Amino acid sequence: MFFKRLSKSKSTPSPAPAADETAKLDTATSVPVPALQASNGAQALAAADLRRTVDGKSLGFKTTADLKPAAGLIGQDRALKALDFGLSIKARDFNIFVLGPPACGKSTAVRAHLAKAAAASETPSDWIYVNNFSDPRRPRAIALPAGRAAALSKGLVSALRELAAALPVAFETEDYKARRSAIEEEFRNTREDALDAVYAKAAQQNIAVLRTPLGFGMAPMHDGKVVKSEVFNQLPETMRRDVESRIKLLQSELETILSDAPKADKRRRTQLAALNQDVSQNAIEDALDELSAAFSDLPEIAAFLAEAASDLAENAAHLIAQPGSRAGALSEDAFSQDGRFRRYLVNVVVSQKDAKAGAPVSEALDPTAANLCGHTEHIQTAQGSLSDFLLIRSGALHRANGGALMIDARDIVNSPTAWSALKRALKSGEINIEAASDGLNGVTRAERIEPEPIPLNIKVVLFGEPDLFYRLHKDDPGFAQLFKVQADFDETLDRSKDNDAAYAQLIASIVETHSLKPIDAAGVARLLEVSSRIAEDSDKLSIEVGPIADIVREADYWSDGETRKTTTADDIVRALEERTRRANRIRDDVLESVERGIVLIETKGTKVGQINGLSLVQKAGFNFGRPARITARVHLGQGRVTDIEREVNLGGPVHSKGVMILWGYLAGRFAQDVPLALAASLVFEQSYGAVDGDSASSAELLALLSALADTPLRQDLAVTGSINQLGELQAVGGINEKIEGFYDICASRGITGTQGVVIPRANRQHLMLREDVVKAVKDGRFAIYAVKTIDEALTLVTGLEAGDRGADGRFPAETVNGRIEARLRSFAERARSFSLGKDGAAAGSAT
Amino acid sequence: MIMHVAQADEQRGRVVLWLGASGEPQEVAVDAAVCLAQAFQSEIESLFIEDRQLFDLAELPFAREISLSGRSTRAMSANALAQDMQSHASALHRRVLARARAADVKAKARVIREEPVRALAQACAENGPWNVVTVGTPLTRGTEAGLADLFHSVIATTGVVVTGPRARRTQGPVIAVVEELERVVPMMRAAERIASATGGETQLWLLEQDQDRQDWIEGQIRLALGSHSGVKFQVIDMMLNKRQDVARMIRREGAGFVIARFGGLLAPDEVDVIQIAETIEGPLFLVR
Repeated sequence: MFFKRLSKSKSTPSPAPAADETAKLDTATSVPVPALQASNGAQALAAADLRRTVDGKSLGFKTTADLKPAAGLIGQDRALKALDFGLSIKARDFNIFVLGPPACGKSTAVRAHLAKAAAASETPSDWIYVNNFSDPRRPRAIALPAGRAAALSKGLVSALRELAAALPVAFETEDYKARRSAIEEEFRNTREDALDAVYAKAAQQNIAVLRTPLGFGMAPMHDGKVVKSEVFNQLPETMRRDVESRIKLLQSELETILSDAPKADKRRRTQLAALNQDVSQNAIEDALDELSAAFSDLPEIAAFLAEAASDLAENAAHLIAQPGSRAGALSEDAFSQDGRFRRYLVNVVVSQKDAKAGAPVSEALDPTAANLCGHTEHIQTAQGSLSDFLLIRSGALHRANGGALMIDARDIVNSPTAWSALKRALKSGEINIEAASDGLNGVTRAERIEPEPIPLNIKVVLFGEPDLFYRLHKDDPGFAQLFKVQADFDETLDRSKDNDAAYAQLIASIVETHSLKPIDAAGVARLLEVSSRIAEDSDKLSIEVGPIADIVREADYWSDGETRKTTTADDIVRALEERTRRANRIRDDVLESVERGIVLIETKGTKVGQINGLSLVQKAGFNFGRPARITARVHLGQGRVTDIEREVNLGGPVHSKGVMILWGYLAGRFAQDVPLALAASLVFEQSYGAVDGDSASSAELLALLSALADTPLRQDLAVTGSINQLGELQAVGGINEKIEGFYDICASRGITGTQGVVIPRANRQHLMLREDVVKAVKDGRFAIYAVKTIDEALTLVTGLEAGDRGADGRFPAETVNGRIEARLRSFAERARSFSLGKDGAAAGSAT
Repeated sequence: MIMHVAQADEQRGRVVLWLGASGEPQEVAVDAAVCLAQAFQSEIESLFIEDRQLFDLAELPFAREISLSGRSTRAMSANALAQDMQSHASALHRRVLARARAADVKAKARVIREEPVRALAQACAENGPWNVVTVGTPLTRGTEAGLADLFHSVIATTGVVVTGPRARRTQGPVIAVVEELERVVPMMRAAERIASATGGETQLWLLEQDQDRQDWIEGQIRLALGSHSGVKFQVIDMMLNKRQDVARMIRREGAGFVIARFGGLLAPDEVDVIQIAETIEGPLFLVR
């Protein structure tokens, strides 16, 4: 029996070896290179299919200087419409979550888009906090028309300065002193006159009034001295009684005078306060008149100024009690430190430049609870840690109120207190500083102030990766209720003339943003190709602007070295090469270990049960493909495949799934009328790290089939692709890197002309291979085969027909599948025989 | 000479701070005592006088004490009064001694049960020729100190410091008020010494009633002040001004200490002293 040979291609650089030569293990002979269009459907791809190139001349400009830089997002209509919807809808629970890959420039683009929308929106109010004269622990929040808060603050400082100078003068006038003195004298005289009258009356009656430590006592006198008791007791009783009754009467009078003292003192204080108020009133009115007139259109401000004026009048004496003559010369900051005037100042927490500034758009870069909702500072005094309305500090929500606030979703979700504070603010529709400060350590509640909340009218725009969005949606009920608009950024754009042109404008905007030299059309064409490569799709462009911007800047650097006035395609290529050179030490180590035979990879000859698989290594943003030897062994057994990676916990779940699928394929294809009486083992040789993904499942199946058929596999080919239970090859990721990884090993050993890579046909569109690989294919020195089924792959790697079932339901014996079928039947028979020999009863029952 | 600083071979004088049952001492009075002690490198004697007459009163069968608020009365007894006195004296002494210690001035405390003037005379006599009595409680109508009797009976004192109810500072210019040429230099020296302790400037105010003599005496004083060039000097015509006007001028000047002769033009008797003390905001140092 001879295996069916494939016909030779014109481009086949070497003759096909005989089938019997390849049937031996550990042979190193060449096998025939299949035709570009294999007879069983496998395609050897043409060079043109391996990279979609862009002709700079077709772009229609000479350099990016000819282009108008892209103002915002390109090709993201769905996301932009979602953004516009989220911004337009007047509901506080319709906040926006922008989903997209990292470094795709979405925040820059969304910011520009929001800024455009915000500029056309109404400018929100200014906000101030002022002292609450009736309850200083609860500062009042007042809104003012945009741009007027600063004027009020400045005006108040100016008015208070004037007052600080005017009040002492008012209290130094002769008129004031005379009136004050009159009140003091009246009080003193009233009390002292009354006391004097009692003293005089007592003196007239020879009675002394004496002070004791705790009060007063009265005693009869003789010759200016208190009469001693022994003398007094010798007086006639009538006289003694007379003295006692007179003293009692005087004591009663004294009691009345003394007990009236507090009332009189209260009257005195009331009169003095009224006098102070009266004297200060004119100075206060003069100082505040201009300001009151300027803000008379704002009832809340007018009311505040009236309250302040009233409080100033009440406390006028206190204001001049300290040496305050320097108050007029103090700076605003120093003025706010002056305890006498502090309570009349305003704390501007939100101030718009002017009424035409538009809505604010800002970004919370460090979204803690305090940075979002604001906080109150404290000052240490002899009485402890204190705070007041001037120590209220605004947060990002205050500053963006009336507009939009952008926040990196990961940053805020990682700060639970901030995330809760944001949701609470959005839900309640107000910014509550006191509530946001609840999590602060070291400050007891008793020492806090409770500022009035400020109404919140904002659109919060969160940025994050899709995974985070879906996780929040699933696990955080509050999130779904508050972020109802999903602006989903596509990761890629379709390649089209329009999109190519738009992408060129995007590159022009990168050049402009970073003040770089213009890039010529060929350079832009090259960047479009790089973008497709990043997108892993020759029909797409990646919107990950970050890596493109990095390459553009690096190319600009290299072009400087060449003293060019524009950055060219050569500079782009240089930038790509240099960044690869900087990052590819590990790849070089891998290549070296293969070249030195430390890692065993065959790139010629054939072997049974052994195949070159391809894995993708990802290290710090640098990806490269690495060939891996996969081997399979079969033996008699009870239908079990041992995935050695899984057994030693190096295989991930997806890899295990792939192995189970290939077992399913095997059982479905070959065990319809005989049991799978075999056991198999599969392993990635010399792999000591974790393996996951199912992209090697086709290679594993081929190794297994080879072992079963006892048919050697070509070692000059590498295979990648995942397999399904029907034997179809499915697309895998990292296809370019994987192909290039095998090519690099072949090239380092010397290209034989027969080498190549077998890939799923579904991966054709993803090919954006390096130019050296494309050239090798173009020159017929390397080949890429795109296959649809495992049979097509089997034919390629064995050089034999895979074989289809005939009318009798059997595979032709000379085909690979025929051999497999025969081997499986043989296993089944041997298993049956073994079972009969071992257990006669069982054999009896089977017959 | 009003100021006699004790020599090494004589018994040292002291500032006697007169405290008694009649209420809290004025803070400024305590400060004044401390400043004087600093200025003249002497010490303070905190002297609490238990007025013997109060005990005579307490012995009377009908004796009652009316509280300061006038809202309650109680029967008096010598024992209860003695106890009250002791508590009051201890509290006052503690305050004075603490204040003196803070100013690095030596101080001691004593309680004497006697009539006040006799007690002061006795205390000053024990201390040698140089003593200044500082009256602890503010001087007001009805609570006279008996200044004339004090100057007469307490021989071993060179002066008495009194404060009014408005007194609130010892800092500020030290004003020596003089009427006679022969007192200018010693009064100036005293003022300068006090100023060195309080940090204020020294001023000399000449009160003159005779306009014909004014120019002459002013010239003489300026001559005498030759070595005191930093002294601010002014003449006040007492034909045009009354005592109370001078007191107001002193207040406007923001004076700390004022030194004047008891019995002179400014302070002829205790009634006038009370009026001046009620007007000015610093201690009034009355000298013989």
